[in-house]
Amino acid sequence: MDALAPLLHGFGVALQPMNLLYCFLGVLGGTLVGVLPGLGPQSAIVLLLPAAVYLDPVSAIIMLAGVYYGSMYGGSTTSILVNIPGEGASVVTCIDGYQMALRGRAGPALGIAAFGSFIAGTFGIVLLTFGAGPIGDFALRFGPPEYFALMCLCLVVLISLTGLSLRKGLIAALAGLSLGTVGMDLVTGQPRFAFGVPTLMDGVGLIPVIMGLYGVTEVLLNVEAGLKHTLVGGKIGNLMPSARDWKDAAMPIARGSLLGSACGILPGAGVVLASFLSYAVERKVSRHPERFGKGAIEGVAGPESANNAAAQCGFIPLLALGIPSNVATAILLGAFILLGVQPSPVMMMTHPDLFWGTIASMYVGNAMLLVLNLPLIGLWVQVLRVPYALLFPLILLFCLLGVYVAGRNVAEIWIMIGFGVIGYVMKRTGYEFAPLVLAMVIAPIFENALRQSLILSLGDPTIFVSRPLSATLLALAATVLVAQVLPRLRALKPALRE
Amino acid sequence: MRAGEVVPALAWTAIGGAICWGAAGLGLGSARQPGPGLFPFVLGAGIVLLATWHAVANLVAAPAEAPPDRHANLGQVAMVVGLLCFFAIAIEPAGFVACAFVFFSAMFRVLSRRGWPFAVIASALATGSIYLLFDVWLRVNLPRGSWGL
Repeated sequence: MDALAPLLHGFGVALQPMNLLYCFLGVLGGTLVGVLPGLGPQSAIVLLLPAAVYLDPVSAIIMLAGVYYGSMYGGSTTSILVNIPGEGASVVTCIDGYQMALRGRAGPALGIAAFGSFIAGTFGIVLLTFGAGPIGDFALRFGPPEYFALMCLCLVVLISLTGLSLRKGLIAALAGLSLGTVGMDLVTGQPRFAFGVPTLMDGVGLIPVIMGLYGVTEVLLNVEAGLKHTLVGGKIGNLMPSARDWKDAAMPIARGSLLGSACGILPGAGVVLASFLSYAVERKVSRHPERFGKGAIEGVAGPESANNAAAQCGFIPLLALGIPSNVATAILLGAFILLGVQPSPVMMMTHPDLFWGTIASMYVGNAMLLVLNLPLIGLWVQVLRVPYALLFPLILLFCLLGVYVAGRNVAEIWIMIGFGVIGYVMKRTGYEFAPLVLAMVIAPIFENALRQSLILSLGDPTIFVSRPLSATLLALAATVLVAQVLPRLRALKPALRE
Repeated sequence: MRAGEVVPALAWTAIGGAICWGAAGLGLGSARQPGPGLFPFVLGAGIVLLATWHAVANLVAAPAEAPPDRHANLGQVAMVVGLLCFFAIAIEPAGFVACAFVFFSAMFRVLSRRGWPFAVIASALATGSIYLLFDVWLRVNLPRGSWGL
């Protein structure tokens, strides 16, 4: 309860009129970029960075943080109504959310997404408030073998997410890991796969890759399909979920909150993994897994709760340790440094206004988002009704500007275009790029953990199973893998007998 | 044979092979002292194995039903990619305003299939709004061409 007094101080900071205004602008802008397909929180934060340096650091961080967690709310609207994820974390919401909308249940889908997001987001903030210290201590216990085991678990989960083809998912994940190795080798300082291009010395930038795959590719696929406007017609109806909906969604929201919090805290996991993991768990634990993909409310409630909890808990390693847990928090870390603040375990003492003001603003922002999302759903629908022929050129220009402004480097634009085309070809040939992106994010942690573990153990691989935490994580990974492979082997048996 | 699966799988095999070749040149090291090439080599080998397996499995598989033709707008896709390349080439020498105006005009003309007057007016409005938003209000210094815009 030591956090209560400083939290009250934080509310004093967050409730100042200017900070309230920037919090509102942040969550409103976040919801808007979440609603618009192809424009994610990363690009929005990058676009706002040059302007944020002119603001008071507390106001600037409150606004940028609002953009990040606000986009998690907005992303579900596009997924449910248009079947295009507003941002990466809402990819899985498309599966059942859009099916619910097609069955005339867009209202309850949007409603449960907003309520689930609010509940899980608040849970995440409470965890952030009271758990930043102890959780930071626990995460510090992770050594290289534990990180390696954790990344193995992430990879196995990735494979289970690919759905149709295990081989294709694995190929995409391995390609993503390979991409993550581009750039200067941290141990030897040797450039790898950089081909003498200065931009590639620091590795392939995540921002152009994400904008290419999730912005350019989506536009290209839609252009090819003839710019069909798939916005669900008719009235959205009552946004309040029924008692039955609440009963079905209660446990997925609870599980999503817990899973999302865990993913948010662990570096490398993040909001996208949280939502995918939650969907996979809900499908596994459901008594009627056949309903998934056909409009199951659990398939909306779980992932939407998970990505919001992860977004909030992603601030724990960022604020308490100075470690970003995903791309967006990495950009936020850049914002902190631009504003002259280095997040670290002592930040709550050295910058109490910023630390506790930001946390308190999240409570306020989360409440604002619930109020914004339900009554303003009509406005977001109108935003989505803008013809694609007008919307897509704007999205492409925002992507181009976002990439260029971030580094003032034309090479990054070429990388974005390249990945836009690669993503388009991958989609056309049946390869998903979500495993590629996630694997690319975890690649540096994965490789460093592997190399450091082998150096520590003098080449003895038993180091991964001789430490309890890493052994537990590896056992979990093995369980998930066996659960994935067994049904496929069983299906092969009759064919082999023949 | 499923050509639609085999050809991409062979492409992945080639990519995996290229990664292995590049990684081997970096130095693999040993288990005690892993070199900078070891991790990418293992990944490349994994891609080669899986992609070859996928190619072989689809070589012997019965042909799948032909997917519906989605190539109708391939020309538009190429046009959009071309315009993105134009933006990358022109942004620094021509500046944001001229570059965005041409980009929007061509995009609106290609995608909306309405006349040039609509495309020009819409692109002037879009370029002006974005310039005001980013350069004037948010103070993001957008690149200026030789004529200062």
